[in-house]
Amino acid sequence: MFKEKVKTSIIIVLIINLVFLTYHSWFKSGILGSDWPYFSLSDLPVARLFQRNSFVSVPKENLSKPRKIVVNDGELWVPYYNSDDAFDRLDENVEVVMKCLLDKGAKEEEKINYTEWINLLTQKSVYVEYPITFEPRMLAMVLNADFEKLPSGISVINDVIIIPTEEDNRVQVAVRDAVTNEAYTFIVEDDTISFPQEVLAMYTDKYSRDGYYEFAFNTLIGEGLGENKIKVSDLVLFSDNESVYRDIKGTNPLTGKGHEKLLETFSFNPKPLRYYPDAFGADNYVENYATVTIFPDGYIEYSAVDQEKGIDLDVGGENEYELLNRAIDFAEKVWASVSNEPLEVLVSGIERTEEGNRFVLDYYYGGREIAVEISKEGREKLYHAIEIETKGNKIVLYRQYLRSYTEADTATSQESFMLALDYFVGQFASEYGVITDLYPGYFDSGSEEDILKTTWLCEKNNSEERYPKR
Amino acid sequence: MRKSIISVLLVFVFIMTASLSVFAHPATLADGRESTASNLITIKKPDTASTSTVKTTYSVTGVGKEGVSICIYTYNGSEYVPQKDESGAVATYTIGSSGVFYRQIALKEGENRICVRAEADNGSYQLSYLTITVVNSSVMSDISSFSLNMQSKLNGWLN
Repeated sequence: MFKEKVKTSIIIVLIINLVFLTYHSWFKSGILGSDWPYFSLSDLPVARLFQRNSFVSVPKENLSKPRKIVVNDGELWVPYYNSDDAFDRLDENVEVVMKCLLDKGAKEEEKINYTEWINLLTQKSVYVEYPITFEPRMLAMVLNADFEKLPSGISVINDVIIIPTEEDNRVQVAVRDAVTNEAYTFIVEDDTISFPQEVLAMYTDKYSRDGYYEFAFNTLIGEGLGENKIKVSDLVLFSDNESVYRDIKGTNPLTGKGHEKLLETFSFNPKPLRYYPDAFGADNYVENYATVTIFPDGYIEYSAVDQEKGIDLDVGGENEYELLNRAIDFAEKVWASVSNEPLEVLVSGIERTEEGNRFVLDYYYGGREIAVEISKEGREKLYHAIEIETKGNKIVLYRQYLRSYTEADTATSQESFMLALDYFVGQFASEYGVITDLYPGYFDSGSEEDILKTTWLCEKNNSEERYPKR
Repeated sequence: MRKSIISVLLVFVFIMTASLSVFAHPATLADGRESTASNLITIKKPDTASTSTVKTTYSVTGVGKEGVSICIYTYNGSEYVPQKDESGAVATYTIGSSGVFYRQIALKEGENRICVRAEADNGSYQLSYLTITVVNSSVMSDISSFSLNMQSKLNGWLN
């Protein structure tokens, strides 16, 4: 009798084990390692339909995230980017403050000049820079805050300084108008805020052993760079660090695939289509009111011939934020027609044009930007991964350089900041202007070489063009 | 023919040796040594010859002529010795197109006597003596003394 019970128990345990392992091998396969060589139900195309429900839009998520957060404990500055472990934790606390600023309104206000604003960065503070310049109302929408209004004349926001006070739930926020350079300080107090001064030292101490960063204004070098006409912005981060970064590899996800799915996303019916190849090797598809051109290197372009009949984004009224969201949805739809991976881009520019809006998006890998500059015969120069132009509620121009990036087996040592500064000053020596940012990233010129090595990217005069150190 | 080849080789070796001797910052500097030039660089940070900080890393910055070589020396109690790079060689930096130099230096607690040596390609050099005092150690000690109450205060900031 006892023997029977033992046998039954063993069989039950084995059956449970069987069910558990079968579930993991069919649906998860993670428990068995990423190199599980056998069939998994999650690989079936039909399974992807269900997976879509949990799909997170990377560009939409990134929209509310700062481009960088620079922590100062009173002496050291340490920048955090989207790829850093602690970035999200910092961002969560920054977001609470920003929501309170926009949502509940600020309690006090003082107008300060630019010099006073920038000198706040020498205190215990957190500098927050957004990837795009937002109107306060739009920033509130992005942060999911009920916008009251800022009690001042701030028209656009790109960066703010948060200064913790003696009270943990009370901070000072210094907001700069990105156009006029006028700044205002606000006292923001709320029970949801937790910004103790002591926390800043934790975030700078982590990096102090590897050297640190320093805003240009604090180097006391001044704007002028010797006899050069080009100057360097106060907010460029100087460093003495030399790091090694993995190289990345770019591939065209459309290679070896038909164009039907891609054309369908542009509402082109592939069957009765008018098609002709051109002298540049591109496939041109023509419908009554639009054309789609697909180049072999992954550059694609949709252009509405009749500007009134572009791709309808179905947005009611003049809601720029909703329009941006729908434009992102469309970009993700285009991407999904050629790749199963999420679209790893961030919105890097919103511009009002005479007739509508222009949105630009850029690829990034490991939290680092990949600057794209595609300049080839037979097409307009492309400075971004994706450019979308809208008129009314319709997309009238869509351009994308289709690229999927993965880590390569090789790594490259990043040249020092000063070598990069010397290079760019040498390049722009005779031009009047300001180097507004200089940071490490990748550069994809669409050349045959598919391995991208780490390099320095330079922004000048706040323009959207990024110059790589070649 | 043989003599010509030897002559060419000797000239080549001489040129190479001469070019290597340019910017050869000395292995040590005696205290109180004086400059032979005064207009090669202008130290911007620190903005005074004597300054203080609470951190053990500090950046020395300045502007100067393109091509001027910079080497930073620290005083060891009897003489100034140059900063070394990771390979153990003397760390030098040549001012480029930007006309700017920027070097981070490691400091010890208390008084740190620094000498920034700038050398032009004609061999003239400028010495700038600085004293940087670290008045407080790292904030790490403050962090480690956090009590349990402090941990709850930092709730949301810790892992």
